[in-house]
Amino acid sequence: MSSAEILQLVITGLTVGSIYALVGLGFNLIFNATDVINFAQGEFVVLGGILTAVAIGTVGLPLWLAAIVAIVLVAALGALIDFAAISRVKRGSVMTLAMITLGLAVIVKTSLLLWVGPDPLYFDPFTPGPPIRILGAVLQLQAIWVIGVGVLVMIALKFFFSHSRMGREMLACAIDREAAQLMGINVRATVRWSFILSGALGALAGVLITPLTNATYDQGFTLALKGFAACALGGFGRASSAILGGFALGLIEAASVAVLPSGLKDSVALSVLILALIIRPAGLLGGREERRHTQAM
Amino acid sequence: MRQFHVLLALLVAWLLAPLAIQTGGTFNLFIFAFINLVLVVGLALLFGYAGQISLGQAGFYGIGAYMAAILSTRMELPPFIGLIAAIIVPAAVGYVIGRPVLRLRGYYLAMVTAALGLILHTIFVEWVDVTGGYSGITGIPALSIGSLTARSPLIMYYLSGAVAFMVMGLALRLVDTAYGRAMRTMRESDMAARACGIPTSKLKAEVFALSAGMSGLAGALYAQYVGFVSPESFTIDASINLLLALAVGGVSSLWGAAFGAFLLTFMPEWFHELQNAYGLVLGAVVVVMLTLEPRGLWGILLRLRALLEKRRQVAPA
Repeated sequence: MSSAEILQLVITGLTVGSIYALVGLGFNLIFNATDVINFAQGEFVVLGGILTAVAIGTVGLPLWLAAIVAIVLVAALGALIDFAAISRVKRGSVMTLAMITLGLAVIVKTSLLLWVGPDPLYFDPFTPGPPIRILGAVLQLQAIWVIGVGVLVMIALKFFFSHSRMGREMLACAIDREAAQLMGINVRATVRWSFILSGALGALAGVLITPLTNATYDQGFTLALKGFAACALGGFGRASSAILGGFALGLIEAASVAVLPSGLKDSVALSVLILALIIRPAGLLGGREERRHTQAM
Repeated sequence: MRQFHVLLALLVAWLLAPLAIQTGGTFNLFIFAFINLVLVVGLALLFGYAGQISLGQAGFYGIGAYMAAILSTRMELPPFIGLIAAIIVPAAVGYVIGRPVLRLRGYYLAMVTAALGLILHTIFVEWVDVTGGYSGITGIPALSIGSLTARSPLIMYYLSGAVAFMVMGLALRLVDTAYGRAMRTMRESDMAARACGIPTSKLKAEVFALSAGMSGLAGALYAQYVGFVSPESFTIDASINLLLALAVGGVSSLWGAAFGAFLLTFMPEWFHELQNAYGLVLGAVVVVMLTLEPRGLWGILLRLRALLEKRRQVAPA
């Protein structure tokens, strides 16, 4: 394999990996505040992409405005989900909540199918122009956007959790809900905000990746699964683990496509994931375990 | 004792129901409901009782179906051998994989079992020489006992129903034994279970193997009745639907699991006029049910019973 091919493989891996990482970061936000994995996270991403495409294509808004509208609407959906379902659950475990988000994912997916139909939607890349050639490898301009914004979001989240009041309150809720409540933190409001923020983050991811991947109503679950895998590989509960896990998965997939039939891509990545978790049961970076009961209802 | 009476009443209803069932379509629904019951009850033992989540049940369901298909078509063995192999092979695979994998907990276990299901699905698709790829395997002979072949809906109705009753009866019995109590102890606390001398990693792998074997049994029944298998029946969506069916029925109750299996089968039929919009109903049922009552339909029944008893106590005797 030539060095250009290897470079190409790395570029592809990093691009795909940053998509997974962005989805994984959305998972982390809600996980950190509630211990719940929101399986509708992939739907947030797809919805963000589709709303932007419709706002540009049908309504005729400029890209930046369309993106803002999409992000605000999906953030509102996040709030609605928490208001209408999650906050109403009085008893029941984290797994009950996770299954409710699965049900919500089905509702969003079906609504999208009924609304825009089964065909993929797309809009033009943010910056027009031919891809950049580096040492024989091809880099799409949109990929630079995805990776660049992904890194910015990661840095922003890091500061959010370590320096902002709301971020620290969210972490406190994750570490010990009761103690957080006793310290005067409004746990309910914190959870609501975590849904709003991860809705916004999911929609942002959708806006970024749609020019590369198009947006189809049924992509959400696959994306959620990849983001979930990224989090698991790195270890749940850390922003850096979603990034590391995402990039690792992307690179493994790219490497696997280079040597094996492309149909095996997912299985190779998943086998590596299984092995990694058997060796390190809490992820590569050692995530935290859920504190509330995850098993019994 | 009360459970025994309920089971007996259901048994009589099951035996007599064909008198009232008019169409082959209704028979089919019952047959698939019985097959789903075996799957969901298996998942209930694993998840509801032993506390180990699995998002990969459809993979074992698939192994069972393909075992039955391959043994009776390519190797021309009698279907009954295929049925037995469809129980043993997934159970063995489950045990071997379960030992290392079930050290994981919560979401990590959910992810790894989902990954297993996806990998198995890929194998069904890609190993074309053995599985026939996307086009699958056709012409699977029906299960036959003597001169009776279980291809006619009526015979299969009784056969799959008998299997479902047997599975349900054995499962109800199992959860009442010391073994079942060990499972529940492990669900509540792994550490407490180990402190009581329960070998948890062995127990987990055994229950995993048991539920994999039950899935395989369901797979063989499915393959031998329909006569055709292809990978699209064994996707992660199928695994998730099983989990949702269990959750709606009631996670930590075998009766709830049975409810869930019947709902999973009958709901698409009740709402078939909605076509694509069916997802809205399914999603809404899951969300509303779990929001109101995390114990599912079974929980609602329990609440109703508690309410009735309270009323009886208040009223003068």
